[in-house]
Amino acid sequence: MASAIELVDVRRRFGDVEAVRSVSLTVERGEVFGIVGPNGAGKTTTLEMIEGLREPDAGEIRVLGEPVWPHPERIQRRIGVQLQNSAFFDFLSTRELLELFARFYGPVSPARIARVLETVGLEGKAGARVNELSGGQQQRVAIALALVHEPEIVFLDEPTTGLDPQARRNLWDVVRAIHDEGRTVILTTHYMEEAEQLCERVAIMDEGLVVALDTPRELVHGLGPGGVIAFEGGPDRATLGSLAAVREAHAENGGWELSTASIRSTLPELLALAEQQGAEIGWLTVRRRSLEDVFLALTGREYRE
Amino acid sequence: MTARVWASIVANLRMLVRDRTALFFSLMLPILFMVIFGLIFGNSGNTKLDIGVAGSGPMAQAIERTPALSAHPGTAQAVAERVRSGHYQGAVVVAGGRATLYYSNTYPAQAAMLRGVVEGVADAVNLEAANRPRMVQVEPVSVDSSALRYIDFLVPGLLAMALAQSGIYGVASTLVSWRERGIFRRLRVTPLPLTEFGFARLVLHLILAMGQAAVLLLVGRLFFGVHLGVDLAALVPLVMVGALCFIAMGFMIGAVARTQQTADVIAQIVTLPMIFLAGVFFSIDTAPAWLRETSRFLPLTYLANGLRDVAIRGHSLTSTLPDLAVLGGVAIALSLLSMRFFRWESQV
Repeated sequence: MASAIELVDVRRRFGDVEAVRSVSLTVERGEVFGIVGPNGAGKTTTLEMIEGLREPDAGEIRVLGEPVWPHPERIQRRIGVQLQNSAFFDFLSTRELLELFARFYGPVSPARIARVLETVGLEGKAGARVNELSGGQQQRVAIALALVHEPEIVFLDEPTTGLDPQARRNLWDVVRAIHDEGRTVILTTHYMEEAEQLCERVAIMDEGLVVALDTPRELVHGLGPGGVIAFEGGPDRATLGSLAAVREAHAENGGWELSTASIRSTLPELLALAEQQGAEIGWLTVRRRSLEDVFLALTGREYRE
Repeated sequence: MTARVWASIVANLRMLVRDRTALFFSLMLPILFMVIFGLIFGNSGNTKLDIGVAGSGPMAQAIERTPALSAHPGTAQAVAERVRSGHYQGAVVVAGGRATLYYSNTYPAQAAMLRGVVEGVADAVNLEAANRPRMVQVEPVSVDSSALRYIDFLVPGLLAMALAQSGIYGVASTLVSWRERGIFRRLRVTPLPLTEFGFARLVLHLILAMGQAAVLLLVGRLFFGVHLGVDLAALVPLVMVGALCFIAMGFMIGAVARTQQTADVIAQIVTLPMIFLAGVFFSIDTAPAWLRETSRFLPLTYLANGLRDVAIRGHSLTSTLPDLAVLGGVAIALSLLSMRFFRWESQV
């Protein structure tokens, strides 16, 4: 069986800007696949080319084994799309909106509509006007619209941007529920934590290129042993270079973050240094490395959400 | 018609009837104008009814003695003329045993009052002369079956205005707002061709236009006694083609405007002067030549005139063919032009 999505050397420019310089990747069926990266990395453009909204300048895109271009309408029946900045028709209720979109694909099944409302957790809001719902609820309507025709692949473009932490976590449950139904999910996000939580595999994009592609676990493993020590106060920053295993140090949240190859050796050294200088430490935490550290290691730039 | 086009029409109808702002501008505002202008120009401000009296005898004397009436004697021809010209609300012409009441329907309430008063006077005169054969019989004759009253002039004009506003604003504003908000973009990733959605929207606007025509003419008839011509079916093509013309104008604005604010401003700049210059509220027959000349270039002039001809003057459809040709021509020309500029999505 063909892969869900295959991109081979896909490129797209807007005027002088090379939005997507070269992207090649394969998404397997049933997978939750994430594309992460800072704003302007080319995530949305890549997604739009797969969805059939933008034609690539070069390269090949196949969805469920079929080439998307030049006739994207063929695969559009089999995919469901939630766009960034979802907007809806005013004055329609959630159910009316779902029925309208379902009708675009064929006969409407009330049972299916009810199931979709349940999947996204909007059973109680079926009769409410969409423009009167909260931001998180509207985002779930957008996802429901992408699900209403039982698509094989679901595209979610920054589904949690602008949501509060609680709404974001609720949305993660929705994504997991879609995955449990056996659908392929491809989502973009600029929250690295979100990609680690939700995605089986992650492509990290920067400046129009895929700079890394693997499971979050493998990507972090690739950085080698060790972890991150973060603290406030402590030894003078000029002396931090004397810590043997530290690979990189930068200011973060008013304190410092040290990426070290060995927590076992760095931690006592750091405390000893503070002791020597009589410098109190405000707080100190030790954590495992995250995708943000992977981004930092790959691009030399700190990741900013 | 495919199920999805039908579903799009139904959904758009729902949006329309729930959109109070749109309903206000497409229906309530013209009705409001009808009421305001009907009140301003529908009341002479005189509590006494002016009545011309021709002839002599008990009936003529009784009329002159009636406190509610302000009697003006004159010849039969002269007083009838004064009624026609609107100086008197009515005239009684007594000749032999008959008294004929001429009245104007310009102000239906006053006309009804006048008939009541004059018939009352006649009854009293008849009663006085009870022993003689019944000498006065009142026979009311309306003088203005063919004369245009102001409200008759106004209502078709308001209908034309309503069609222009709904077409221009409704299409331009919605089109640009949906494009800006990415709603067309969202529709593009469904199997629904956007042209089908556009068609559904067009059908909706034509349904709205017919609804506006029905409501405004009905309100005018029921509350202002507007005379309607016999061939109302001839209104249908006129309303449709007129609506299409202004939908095309809205489409044109929607094609060139990037933001909703721009679209609304352009729509305003196009609509407001046109409403006044096309003679919606007042006849421009007596206006300066340059103004009359300008009005010939406004499609709204042709729609207002066509609607007046059919709805009020009782003209047939064939007499409005020139108006239809102008409106249809503008509709086609603007549509073709718009298609050159139109985009479903905002450019990046």
